[in-house]
Formats: sequence, C-alpha cells, structure tokens
Amino acid sequence: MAGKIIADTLEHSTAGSLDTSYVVNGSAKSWMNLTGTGTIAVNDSLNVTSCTDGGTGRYKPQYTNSFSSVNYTPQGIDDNYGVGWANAYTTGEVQNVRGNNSFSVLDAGIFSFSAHGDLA
Amino acid sequence: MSEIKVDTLTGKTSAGDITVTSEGGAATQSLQQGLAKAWIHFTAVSSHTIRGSFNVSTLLDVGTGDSQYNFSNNMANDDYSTSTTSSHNIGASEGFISYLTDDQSTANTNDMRTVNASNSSYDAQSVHSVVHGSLA
Repeated sequence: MAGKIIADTLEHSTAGSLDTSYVVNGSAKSWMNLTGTGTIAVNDSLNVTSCTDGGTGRYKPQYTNSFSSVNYTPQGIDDNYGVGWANAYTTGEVQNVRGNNSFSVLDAGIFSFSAHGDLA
Repeated sequence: MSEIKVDTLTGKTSAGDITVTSEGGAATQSLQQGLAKAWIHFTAVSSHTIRGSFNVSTLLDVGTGDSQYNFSNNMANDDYSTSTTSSHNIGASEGFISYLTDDQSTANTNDMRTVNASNSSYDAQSVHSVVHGSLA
C-alpha cells in the first residue's frame, strides 16, 4: 500500500522551505509535445487523453482530468514562427492556433504546450 | 499546520512517481510530471548572460537571435515541452517573437530563436523559457 503524507510545508536541510501550496498550484497540470504536420502525433504529454486536429495549424488537446474553471493559463510555442493564440476555452480542452508573422494560420512541425491552473 | 523536513522525496511504490491531489479534490496527478524540469531567464544583448536559472549548466550564443542552453541533468529524450517568451527593452516599440528550433533541440540542449515582426533575427533583451517533461 502506498503511503500518504498530509503537510503544509516542505523544508530542505540547506535549500530552504516551500509551502506545499506552491507544489500543488505551481505544477503544470498539463503539457504536450506534438508533431503538427500530416497526421498529428502526441510525442509525449501529461494529462492529455487525445489531441484533435482542427485543420491547418489548429490543435486541441483534451485533458484527462479537467480544470475547475476556464481561468487557467495555456501557453504554446512552435518551430515555425512562434506565433500563436488560444481560443475555444473549456475546462476540458483548448484550441491552439499557430500562425506566421502575418498571422496567417499554418501547421507547426513541433507544437509545444503547457497549462497551469486549478484542476477540478 | 504541519511541516516536513526532508532533503529527498521518493515514491514508495515507484520511486519516480509521487501523487498529489488536485485543488478541487476530484483528480490526482503525478508530482514529478507536473514540475518544471528547467527554467532560465537570460539576456542576449551584447553578451549572453544568465539572470536566473534552474537545471541549466551553460548558455551559448549560437548567432544573432539564436540561443542554446544545456541542461545540468538531461531530459529523457527530445519530446519535452518548452514555453518561451522574449522581449526588447522597456519602452521599445517592437516586441520580439520566440520560436523553437526543433532540429537542434536534444535531450541535453534546448535551442531557440528570436525574431522581430519582420521575421529578422534579433538578440532579445530578455528571454524566459520553461521546460516540462521527463528527466533521464
């Protein structure tokens, strides 16, 4: 049986202490590395059950465990122009759109994503 | 209030997997997988200088708008997630755009470029990068 510890603070012998709320609140709740051309492929991820190809430059990861509200912070970057935005927020998924420096939408070779916030 | 004084956290069932309960209590998630495995804040103007970092051993100036940092402890592979932003001096009229150079990022090196709105390479005043994924 796995052990369970309930604690508010972690203290290292030399590196200082940390309120465990920073561990829970400060950890990424989802991240993903995705190949975005052709048949898209999730190369590695956390808390992503699948990712929908929404058309050119549009990637929508679905979370295994949903966020508690839409007030979380998705971030992304790619290997094209690094230009992008997120829309169509829900607690269970978010559509990421990637573009060029003229804001024309195009597929990313690699799309790198993370999200912080509160899980349900 | 409870407090644990400890230098190392290790999973009991699996050394690399400690579970934390979500804020809402409805889910559990791996502590190790959610933690940032590296972060860096550096300036690329004049000379590349690290202002703050975690799990970064060296920062290299590969060329104009091209920066590369090496991990102290390597990632398991090159399938990690990177988030990066960059900026010019406060008050400058032009923002900078960051992007990955995936063909040059490996398990021990992360490479990125910064360009202006015209897609010309520029050294950014500040670059901020965070890495999530699995360590080796």
